Parts: sequence; structure tokens; C-alpha cells
Amino acid sequence: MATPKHGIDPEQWVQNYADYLYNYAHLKLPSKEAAEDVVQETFLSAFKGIKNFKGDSSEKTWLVSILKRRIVDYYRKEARRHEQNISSYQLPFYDSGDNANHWIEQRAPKNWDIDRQISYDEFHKVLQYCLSLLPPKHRVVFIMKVLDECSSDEVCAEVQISAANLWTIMHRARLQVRECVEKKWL
Amino acid sequence: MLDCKSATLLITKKLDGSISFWERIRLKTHLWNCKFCYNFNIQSEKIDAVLKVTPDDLTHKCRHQHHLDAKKKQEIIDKLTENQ
Repeated sequence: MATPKHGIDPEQWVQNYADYLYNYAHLKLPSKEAAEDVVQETFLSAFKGIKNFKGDSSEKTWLVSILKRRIVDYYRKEARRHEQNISSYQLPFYDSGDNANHWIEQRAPKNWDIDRQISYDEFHKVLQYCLSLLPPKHRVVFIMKVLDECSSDEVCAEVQISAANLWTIMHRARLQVRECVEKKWL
Repeated sequence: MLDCKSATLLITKKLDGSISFWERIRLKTHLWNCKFCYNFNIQSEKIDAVLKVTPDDLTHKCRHQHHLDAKKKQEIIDKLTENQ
């Protein structure tokens, strides 16, 4: 058997971490196939970049940070493939009049029975569906911020938007996703 | 007085970035007085929590743990070995 590069035994690495990474990816991506691809890309990136691993965190933590970047890449690629980035979502507030900027009652947040035992798989499915309704470019921004991998500056630079625009997108996304989840789930 | 559109924007900033001490006070005051925004706040936090969940958070809930296909694992091992 060839001497492992930098002391990494591929088989050990995969046996130790593949399932964890796969489970992690599965929670952030819309399909099993997407999760499989991202896990593979993670191992390959990690392997190539092994010199960058300074041992200041555990191997697992390091692999997860690479995984998160590959997850963001997945959504970036998707955004690049789509032209349609205009949101047709109407904000659930009155535009004008005495009630300007107040909730439109039929669309306002209802009580959720938030303490009832939530099946993560159920909720996850609903969330993934609701995320799929966002314009791809907005979805990338949303994912980048939520996965906490990117500072606002990084997100702005990557997607070429201003800081104000970033918050407009995040605001709309949170409103839209919440409203969708309520409709689908309650 | 904060309106609901502004309040929900502040909630967004609070979740994904940060808001100032005074913004926090103004938001809290609004949430005490507005049932809808109060709901929006806890629901957004819930959604956030689910989006940020990791496999470690779920193991104690006896959630079915997925396993990566053995075939796929071997594919990865082969690719890594090739690259040595």
C-alpha cells in the first residue's frame, strides 16, 4: 500500500467522518444526491488542502468548516444557472393609508403551538420547500448568512450587493419563508 | 413608535447581524405591544434554530441517522487514493 500523504489514511478518514458529514449536509441541502456530492467534494478539498490544517481545531471541526463552504458553493452554482432573480413576493404589510407598514391581518403571524414536539424531518422538508420558493440569488444570500460562514461584507462582495440591499433581501426572505412555513405546516 | 415593517427588519438584523442597544429597547417595547410581531420573533428564532441544527443536536432525539451509501464511500476512498 502506498504511504499515505501527510499521514492521512483515506479509508480511515471516510470511515470516521463520512456519515457525520453526510448527516450534516443532508440537513442543509434539498436532496440526498446533493448531500452525497457535497460530502465527496469536501473530502477532496480537505485532502488537497491538508497543509492548511494547523491542528488548532479537531479534524472533524475542520472538515465541517470545509463542508459548510461546499454547501454554500452548491447554492451559488444554482444561482448562477438561473436568470430569474426577481422576487414576486409582496410584503405582508399595508403600503399606504392609516395602517401603512402594519400587518395585513390575514397574513400576520398566527399562534404556532411551538411547544408541541416537532419532527425535525417534517419541519426540514417544509423548510426546504419554502427555501426553494426564494429567487436563487436571494437563497444564496440567505444560506450564506444563516450558515454563519460569511460576514455581511463577504456576502455583499460575493453577490455584488450593497449592505442596504443585503438587509432588504434578508428581510424579505425571512418574511417569505415564515409565511410559507405557516401555510404549509399549520 | 416603531411600525411593524421596521420591527420585522430589526428582528432580521438581530438574528443575522446585530442591533444597537437602543434598537433593542425600541424593539422590545414594540414586541410587548404587538402580538403579531411577537409571534414573528419567536417563529423566526424557531426557523433559525432548525436551519442551524447539526447532527449533534439531534442524536439524543433518536432521530434516524442517515448513512452514506457504502458504494459512495468507496468511491470517495478511491478518489482520495488516486490523488495521493
